[in-house]
Amino acid sequence: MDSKFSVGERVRIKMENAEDPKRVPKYIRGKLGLVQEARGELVSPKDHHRRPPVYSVVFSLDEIVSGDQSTDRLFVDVFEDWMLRE
Amino acid sequence: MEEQDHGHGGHDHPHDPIRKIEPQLPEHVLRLISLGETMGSRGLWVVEDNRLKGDELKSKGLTKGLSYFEKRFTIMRTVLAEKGIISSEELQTRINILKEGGATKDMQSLALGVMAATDILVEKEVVKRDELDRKYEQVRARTPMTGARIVARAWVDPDFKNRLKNDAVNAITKLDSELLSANSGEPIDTWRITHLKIIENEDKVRNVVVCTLCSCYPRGLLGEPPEWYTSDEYRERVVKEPRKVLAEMGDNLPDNVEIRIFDSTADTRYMVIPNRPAGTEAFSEEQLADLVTRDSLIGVADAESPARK
Repeated sequence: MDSKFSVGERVRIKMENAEDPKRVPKYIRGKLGLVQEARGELVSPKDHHRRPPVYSVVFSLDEIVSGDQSTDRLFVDVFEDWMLRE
Repeated sequence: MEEQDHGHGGHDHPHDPIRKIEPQLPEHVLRLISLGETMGSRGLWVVEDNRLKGDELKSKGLTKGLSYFEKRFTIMRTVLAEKGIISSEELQTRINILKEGGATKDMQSLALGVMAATDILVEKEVVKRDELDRKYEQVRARTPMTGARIVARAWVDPDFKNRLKNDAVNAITKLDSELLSANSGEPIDTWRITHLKIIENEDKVRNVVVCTLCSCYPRGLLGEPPEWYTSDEYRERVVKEPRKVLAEMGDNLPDNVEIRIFDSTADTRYMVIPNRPAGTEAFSEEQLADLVTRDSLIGVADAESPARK
C-alpha cells in the first residue's frame, strides 16, 4: 500500500475541495488531526467506484470545540485528497 | 434529547428502556429497503449519489417533516425519475390505480408508493420479483441479535476477539451460520460489512458510533438503525458534546472515562464491543448474548448487568 501520509503524522483538513465538495463533514474542516490508521484505497462493493485512499484521522474534542476540558477524541474517516501535511 | 420535537415517528426514544430487538419494521419499509439494495446490486442505487441527492432535496425543503423512510423513498423516486426509469407521472398514475383498487384503502402513502414503484420496476424488468423476495427475507432477518452473539463469543474467546479487532470481516465470515443470524440461520449479508471495524471498550474508554453525513450503520449486524440514530440532533450534537448527549440518554460517564467518537464518513462501518458486565464469570455464551443490547453495540450504553435483569 503506497500511502501519502503515515501513521502518527499531523494533518490539517482542507476547508474545501472542489473535486469532492461534500465528502467530509464540516466540523473537521480546517482542523488539525493525527493520522491514526491508513486504510488504503477502498473500492465500494456496492457501486465498484474507486475512491481516493482513506485514513482514520483522530481529533481531540478540544480541537473541534475550543475550551473543551475532557480527553475525549473523535475518529473520522477522511479521504486523502482532503488532507494537508502540517 | 427531545426526539419527539423533530417530526419522527417516535417508535424509538432514547429515554425508553433499552431494547435489543426493535419493534419489527412494517412490511412496506422492509420492502423499500429490499428494493433499494436490489437496485444497488444493479448499480442503480449508489449510496454516495443518494446522500448528495438527499442533501439537495433537503436544501430545497422537499423532505421537511418526512420520516426517515419517507425521505429514503423520496430520494429513490427522484433518482428513478432523473435516470429516466420511472417518471413521476407514471408513478402517480400507478398509485392512483392502486388506490382505486379499493383493497388498499387503509394503506399509508409510503406503502402505496413502494408498491407502485416495485410493480413498475418488475414490469420493466429492472428487478425480478423473486430476487426482491429473497432480499426481503434477508433484510427481515437482520437484528441486533447477530451483533450480540458476536460480542458474546468475543467475551468468551480472546483469540476470536483479537481476530475480530484485527480483521472483523474475516473473523465473522468464519463463524457458524447459526451464530451469525439469530432468526433464520442464514449467513449474514457479508457485502454489508465489507469494511468493518470492531472497537472494544476498556475500563476507561467508551467508544460511540455516529454517521454525521447520513445514516451509515452496520446494518448487516444490527439491522436498521433506531430513529434517534438517524436524527439530526444526535448526529450534530454527539460530535460536539458527547458527554452531555450520553447523559441525556441515561448514561452518565465518569470524567475519567475517555469518550471516543467514531464517525462513519467513508465506507467503514463500526460496531462496539461493550465491557463484559461484572458477575458474569459463570455465564454461558447464550446468557451473555442476552445482556448485549443494541445501544451497547452503538456505544451509547453499557451492556446490561445481570443484577438489573
